[in-house]
Amino acid sequence: MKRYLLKRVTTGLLTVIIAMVLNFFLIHIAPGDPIRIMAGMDHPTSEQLEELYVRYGLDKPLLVQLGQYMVNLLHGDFGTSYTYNKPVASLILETMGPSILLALTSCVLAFVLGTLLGLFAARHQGRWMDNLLSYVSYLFDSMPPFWLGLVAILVFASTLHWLPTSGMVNLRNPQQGFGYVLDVLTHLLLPCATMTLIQIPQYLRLTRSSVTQVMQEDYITTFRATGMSEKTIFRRYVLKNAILPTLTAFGISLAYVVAGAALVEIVYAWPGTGRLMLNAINRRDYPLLMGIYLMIAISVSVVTMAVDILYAWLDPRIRLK
Amino acid sequence: MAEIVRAENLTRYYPQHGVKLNGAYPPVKAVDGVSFTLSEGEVLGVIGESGCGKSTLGRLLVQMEAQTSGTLTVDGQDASALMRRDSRAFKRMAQIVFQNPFDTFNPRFTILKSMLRPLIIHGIGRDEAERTALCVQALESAGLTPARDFLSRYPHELSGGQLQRISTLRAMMLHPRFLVADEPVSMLDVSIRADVINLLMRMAHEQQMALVLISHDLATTRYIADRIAVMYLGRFVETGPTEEVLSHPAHPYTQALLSNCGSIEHMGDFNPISISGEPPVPIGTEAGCYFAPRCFRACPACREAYPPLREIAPGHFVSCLSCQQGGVSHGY
Amino acid sequence: MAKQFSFRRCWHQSAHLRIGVILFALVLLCALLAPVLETHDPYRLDGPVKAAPCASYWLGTDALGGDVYSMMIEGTRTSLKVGFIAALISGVLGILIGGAAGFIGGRTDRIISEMINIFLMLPTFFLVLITVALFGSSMTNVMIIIGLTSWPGNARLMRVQAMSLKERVFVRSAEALGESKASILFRYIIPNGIYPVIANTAMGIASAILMEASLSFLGLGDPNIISWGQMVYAGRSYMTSAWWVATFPGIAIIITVMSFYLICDGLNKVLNPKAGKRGA
Repeated sequence: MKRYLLKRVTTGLLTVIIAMVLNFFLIHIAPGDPIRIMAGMDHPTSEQLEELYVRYGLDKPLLVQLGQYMVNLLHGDFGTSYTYNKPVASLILETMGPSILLALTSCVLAFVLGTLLGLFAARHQGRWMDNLLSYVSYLFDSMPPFWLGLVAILVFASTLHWLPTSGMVNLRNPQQGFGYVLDVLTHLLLPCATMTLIQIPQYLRLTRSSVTQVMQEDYITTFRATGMSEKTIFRRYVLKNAILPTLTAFGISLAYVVAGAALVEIVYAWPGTGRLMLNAINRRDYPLLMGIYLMIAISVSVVTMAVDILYAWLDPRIRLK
Repeated sequence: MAEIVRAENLTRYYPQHGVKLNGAYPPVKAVDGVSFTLSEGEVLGVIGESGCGKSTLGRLLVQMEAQTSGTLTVDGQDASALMRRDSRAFKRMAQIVFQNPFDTFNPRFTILKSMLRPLIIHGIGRDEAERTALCVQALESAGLTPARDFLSRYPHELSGGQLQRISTLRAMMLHPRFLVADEPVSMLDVSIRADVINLLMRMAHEQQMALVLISHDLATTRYIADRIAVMYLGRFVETGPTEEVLSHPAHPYTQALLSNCGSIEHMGDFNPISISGEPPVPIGTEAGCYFAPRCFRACPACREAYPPLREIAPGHFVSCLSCQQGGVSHGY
Repeated sequence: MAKQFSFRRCWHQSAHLRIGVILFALVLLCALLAPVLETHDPYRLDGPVKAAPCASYWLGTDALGGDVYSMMIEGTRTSLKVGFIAALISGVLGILIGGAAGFIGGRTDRIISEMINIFLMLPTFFLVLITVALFGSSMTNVMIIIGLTSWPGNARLMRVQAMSLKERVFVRSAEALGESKASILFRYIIPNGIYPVIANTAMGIASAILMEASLSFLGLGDPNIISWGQMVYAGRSYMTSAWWVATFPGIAIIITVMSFYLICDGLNKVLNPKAGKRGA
């Protein structure tokens, strides 16, 4: 176990380091002056230039700059966004909350619903329900998330007026306490539904194929031969073994939760990291963009590492690989 | 007859990874000191159970793996040195036919392409037409006609016997001095083994080539081999002219093998000797004769040192102290 | 003797495959016959602004007067081009790097496979985003960047194939006959291990199309080229007044991507019958 732990942590650290280095070098090989890119405007004032020089050591050789950059990162200095004039780190922290709320809810919902539907499909294999589900799942798999969001807003919010069109809270009529929670929930419904629908297909397919495969294994046939009821077999043996690939996929999705549902957030004007990112792109606010990327890379790395280690602890076979 | 192959004390040890509390794991001694010579046109049959190291020996003989120690001389040249200097030149001299004919050919090549490759690599033939003609000639000489028809097929369309013969012919197109056939018929139906074995024998005699036939089947080996070597745990325990060894086996292991073999005529009663114990692995062998733990004739002296090779009859060598009422026992 | 691969057999066995191929054929036809199928010049903006679908403008017009239907047909070419070229780049890179790693083995392999694992963990979409933002959002850039960020998946598949093919008798046999290492890699290993990579590359086309659409939606698309993602991007702000502008291109994306998924899934089901069919 210890060896696996060590190996896993090393890979995780390496990933983060490579993300940082990648970030760094991308700025420097991109067309355009790196200083301008970092400063964000064509004519930075001499004080701004000076500050940048000090912060990033821009007059020193490249490798020293890289080192300086990494040291800054370790101190939590992810750069300053010139659009918002605030440190990138604090900007991201502010917006992380809503992002995680949306992403986590939809991730869990998609997992639960997808798995249940997958089980249902496996049980009714080959019949029309199964076929229908498979086409529907391909439909949602091929759907661009932002498109679904737009259509959902059009139908449910604009036309039917059942739900609010955007945002996380009603800014014109701010609520307190329980009213606040309800307000958030109503606003959460559409974006969450969009995200969930997009993610359900992968769990559905995984569960269905996994269950089907396990059902064909010899040991299941043996149980049947001993007279065990189909229900018991399913509950006790098939379920436990079939759920493993789905859990793995769920673990991977969790890792990307912090990456959030950037595109969907943008469509719904959800105050999360996605909107931050859009602004950063529009204004070419590179410090902010790179900061976001790094944050995401780090959190994905960390969560993937944690999930892998958890799995290795639960399933000894993985450690031996 | 000129000597073509000379093997002197070939060994092949595979180190095991990891370290135990009291030192490293001992190496796997797949081949542990094999020596023999072969002349033009001579066929040596190497027999033994699975795991005795005969396939590894086969690979060593064509230098697919380098030996851990010992020398191999082919046609007067040191094999290892030649491989380092010019591996292609060595491969023209020494070729191998593998056990599995179904997997010997690239599934994406037609037979023609598979046969042209060695010619192209070694620069035989001036152009494609000439090379194709060579292939056609080779197939026809083995009775695989119409040759053009075979050449345009893919491996999965042919039978095992046909594939194995083509495999042999492909190796022979390089006119090697020395061919190793590693269990060439063990994956084929008994009824078609004869074709392959006959082809091998014909090649050896016509091309004045040395042939090493590795097998666990005594019947086919007896048919084709001039000399036989019995292998156990990486060593030759008995070698000699085929008929001599088969009718007067001196080593207890050979005797046990023969007595259990239903396809050999037995002189006297059919009395299978059973050997106790599991077939051993060539790791951590102790001093003394390797067969002693399972031998039905072992005596305390056998476990002290590995019995030296003795010539008990002209050309018939055995590694055994032959402890039983003193002296050598012929027959059983 | 092995059964030969036959398209007819595949066709009959899987409904998914049939539908997928039909849909793809439709899309391909649109791309090839675009000039014939378009009712108006997609680049000319001389129609009525935000007109609803009607007889002369089958799917309506957008805020600048362009015909949505014709633009959609034109967009077929863009999507397929982006998809194929990006997938090609990613496929070739993946096959070469993964094949070499699996075949050579040893330290080279360890380093390369570690690199592959790390790359696979990094959030690709964001990397593409930043790179496109930095280097410019022309169509060429987008294709190349998507290709350069998705090769690790193919490399991993090819590497596994190479590692197992390396041990096969026909590879050993080729070595014994004197084939050089490079020759073995390109004539024996890659041609025999390429099938899973091709399947993955097909999926890669679909995901490249989706990625291009997402990039366009964020404003990082090529403004000079008509693409479905761009159309949704343009139409998003007036969904309530002219919903057709953003909706129909989205449907086009769905149909195209779905056709790839169906084809891949259908092929998989046919070639590996054990995964998913009832009974033995």
